[in-house]
Amino acid sequence: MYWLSKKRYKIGFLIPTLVVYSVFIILPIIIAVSYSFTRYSGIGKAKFLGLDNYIRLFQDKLFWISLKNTMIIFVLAFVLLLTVAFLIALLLNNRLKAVDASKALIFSPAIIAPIIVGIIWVYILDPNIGILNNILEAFGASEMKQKWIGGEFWSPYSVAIIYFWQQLGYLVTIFIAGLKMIPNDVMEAMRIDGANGFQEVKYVIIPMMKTTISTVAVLVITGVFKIFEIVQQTTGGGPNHLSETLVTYSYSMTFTSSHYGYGMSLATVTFLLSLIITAIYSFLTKEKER
Amino acid sequence: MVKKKKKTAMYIGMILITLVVVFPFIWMVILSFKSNSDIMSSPLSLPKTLNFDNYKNALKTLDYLQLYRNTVFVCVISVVFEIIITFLSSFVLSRMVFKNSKILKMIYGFLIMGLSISPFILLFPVYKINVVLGLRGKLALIFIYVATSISFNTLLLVGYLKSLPTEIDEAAVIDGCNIWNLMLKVILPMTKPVIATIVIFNVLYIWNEFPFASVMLRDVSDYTLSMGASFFKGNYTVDYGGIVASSIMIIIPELIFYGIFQKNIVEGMTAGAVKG
Amino acid sequence: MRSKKLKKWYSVLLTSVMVVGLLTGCSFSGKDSDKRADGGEVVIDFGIHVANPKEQEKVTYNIVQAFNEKNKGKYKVEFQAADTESHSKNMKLAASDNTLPEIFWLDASEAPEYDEAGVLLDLSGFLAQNSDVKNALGSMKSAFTDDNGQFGLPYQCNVQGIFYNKELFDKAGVAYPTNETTYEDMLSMIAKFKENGIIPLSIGSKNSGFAMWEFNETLARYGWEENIESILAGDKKFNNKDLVACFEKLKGLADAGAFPENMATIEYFDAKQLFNIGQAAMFGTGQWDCAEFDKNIGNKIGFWWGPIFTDTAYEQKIAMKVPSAPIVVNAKVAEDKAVQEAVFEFLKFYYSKEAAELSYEGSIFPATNYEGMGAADTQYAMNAMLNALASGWKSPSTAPDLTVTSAVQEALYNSLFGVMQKTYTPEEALDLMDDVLKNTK
Repeated sequence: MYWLSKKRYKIGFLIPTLVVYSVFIILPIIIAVSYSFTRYSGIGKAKFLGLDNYIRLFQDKLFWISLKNTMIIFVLAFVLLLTVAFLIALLLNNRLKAVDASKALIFSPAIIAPIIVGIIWVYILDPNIGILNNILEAFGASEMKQKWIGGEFWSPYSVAIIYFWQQLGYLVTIFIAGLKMIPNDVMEAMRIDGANGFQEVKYVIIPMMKTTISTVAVLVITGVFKIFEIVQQTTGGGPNHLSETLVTYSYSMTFTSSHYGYGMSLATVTFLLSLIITAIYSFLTKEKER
Repeated sequence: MVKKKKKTAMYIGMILITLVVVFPFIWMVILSFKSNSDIMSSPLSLPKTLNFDNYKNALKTLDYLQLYRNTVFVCVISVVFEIIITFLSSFVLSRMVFKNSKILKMIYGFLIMGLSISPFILLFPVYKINVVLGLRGKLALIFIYVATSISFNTLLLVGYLKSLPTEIDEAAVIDGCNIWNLMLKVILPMTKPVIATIVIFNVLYIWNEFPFASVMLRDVSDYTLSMGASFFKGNYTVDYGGIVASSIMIIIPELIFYGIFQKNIVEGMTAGAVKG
Repeated sequence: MRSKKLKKWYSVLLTSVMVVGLLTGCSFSGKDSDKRADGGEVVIDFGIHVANPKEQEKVTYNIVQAFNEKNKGKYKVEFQAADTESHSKNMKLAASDNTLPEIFWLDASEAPEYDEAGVLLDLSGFLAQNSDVKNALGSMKSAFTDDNGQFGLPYQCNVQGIFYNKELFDKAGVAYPTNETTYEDMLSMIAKFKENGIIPLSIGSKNSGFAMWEFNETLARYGWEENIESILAGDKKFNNKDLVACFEKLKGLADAGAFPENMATIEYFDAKQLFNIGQAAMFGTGQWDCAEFDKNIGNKIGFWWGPIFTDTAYEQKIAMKVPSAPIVVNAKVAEDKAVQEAVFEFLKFYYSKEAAELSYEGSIFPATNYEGMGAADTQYAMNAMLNALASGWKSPSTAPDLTVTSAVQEALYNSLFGVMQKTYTPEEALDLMDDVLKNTK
């Protein structure tokens, strides 16, 4: 299609997007990153510090705790969301009655305002008033009661579950769509060859859905590094910042503690981590495709 | 026999999953009929009577007509604008030939990179840029929403457009199409499903977006729906009933909107995701 | 077929754009920068830290209404309202592009930073002109002075301490606390409440670090005011033996089970609710909650300055009637005589006796001190506070948590709750504060 790939079209069509994107996304990122080399409270003049913020960051225990929490959420969400969403998609891809309604309902958590998500889940997970612990007690399993939120250990796992709940419908929809793209004759051929359900999934469906899976994966990876409201509303990062994720910790440093410069250095590291993990993922999957 | 058993198991699975996922949502609806102190002191009990006070109170506190109007206004303008520009750029990235394919990949990667950025990092810098550009109020908000949608839209649109066979373009050109006709009359109609998807996700994002709205909008008359909740949570007081009721009033239009577009989402995702 | 459908789609879209455009009058509503509205009245903006002042800052709302009513056609005050978090961001941003409202509320720990940036008006001129306001404010204004003068005036006056529910004290057979009640007495009180299944002292830490008001007395009784200057100057550390002893007491309360078990997952509002519905015996807060307690607890309410401590030589007879966060004036106001006049007229009214009366009616202590002020009999909570104030105990010039910059303040909150939640030992908690202080120097 050389004839329509004229330079003036290319430039003309790309320019609006590139300009808006550069002015409102890239330039702000550059400004934010440059603040990460300063001490700045948000008012008045910033003071240049060089790499001090970054040195402080690597010595900051809370940074490592929030990194650990983020990684727990990442691994859990990644594994759970990819597998469960995939399995549910397989299930809902069958001709069942009311399957459309079910899809819509599963999608509904994605549109509930974050503050409400917080309130609802606190009532489920709160160690004292939450449903979960009350149910455990009612069934005589008191020894299984935990500080699901507000404790040191379980909070990131709970956040991962809430994130999972919120994103499930969204990703199921993408998977179902991917399944719909697999040509029917391929499936038929498999069945005639006497493949069972498991083999079908392993040898036909998964290989044919590689690109769908990687789209979902990219959305999950970048999504996890942006989780904010869920943590803010369920634990507020507490007790004492121990359930903080990278984003909530940098937010609290930036705005609650007025360490704008330091907060931006945390944000920069978070941004880079997300980019790097996405890049590693695309690199690994690309290798396999060849 | 075996088949029937399998089907029953599937139904049970479907119903269970749906119930588990939807339970908190239903619960929220129940909460909206309880008084504020009931919500705080006995969150698990069912409301004794169907109590509409929270809704009445919410309607009294906020000018919903104005909020809806502002939100729809910002939504429609942003979404139309972002779809026009990202369609054009994605068309270039997916269907035009570059001598150096590395440039193509770089631009694509550059545009996708935005997926990794959490919005709060942009708050202060964007405000300052808006001051320099003289953008204020709703207009400032529209540009931000357009910008933050670019990465997601590019991911979906480029993936989809790449999956359309190039033969279409060739056939169209042989039929005497120029580039505008090709884009608007041939490619765009085929892209309808993915555009529907983008519209849904962008609209839902803007509808619920709070951080930018709260920083960019100073005038009460400009406020959007997502800012409603702050009217029920003060420094020393909180009205959970009001928050829940106002959220339900925010969600209802979303559900209707989703219901209308739902079929298109599935179609759209089919296309967009596969080549993602 | 397809393209027809598409056309329909576009036309629907286009019409909706147009309709929306019409509805909103196609205006992007850039705010009028001209301060004189049509009627010739001067409009001044008041930036406030709640989104809905009518419900969330009733007293201030009433004062502003009264002022507007009185000065119809001359001056008008309009709120620029946003929730506290957004307000704090908005003011910082507005300071960067010179769009600050004429008058605005500021967090006490952030105000000095604004003053250093030179965006606040020195109000000593205003005070010199209005000696009655100056006298009525008394020592309350001294919290907001620095080398550049009077950069702000107290928004209100905060009276902080522990409210208690007499009914629950009776039920558990515990004597009401008095000015002589010691920390050891308090521990035995807690034990009795625990036996009776009552939460002794309600408090929540989720997003509520600031809600530590009852411990301001504790800090003050371990020499906070005496030592803070040398700590901030670097001559002394937070981790000193006085503050360690002080933090040990918090740990003691935690060990005794004084706080709700789920304090980490509840906010200040939820903690207050536990007190409101009679599940908790005590709750630390300030006068802003009086109206709510009148409604929920009525005449069963009591108020206490908190326990006194026997292991320290510092003054124990300390109350907490202190200036709240300041309201400040945009330095730009001085450029326009008419605007400055309006602002000063408003401040004069805000600190007048008339406004003080409105304030008392709403169970809020104004920053001013006028003769003959009092609360109605049914303002039970406020009367309980007035009773406690009658003891004549001295208050520090500023609440301890408002004596430090926002970063250190945040560290203080984190440390206090860290000890109460047993995530930090007292020494660790104080070391954290020293760390932050070092990093912000």
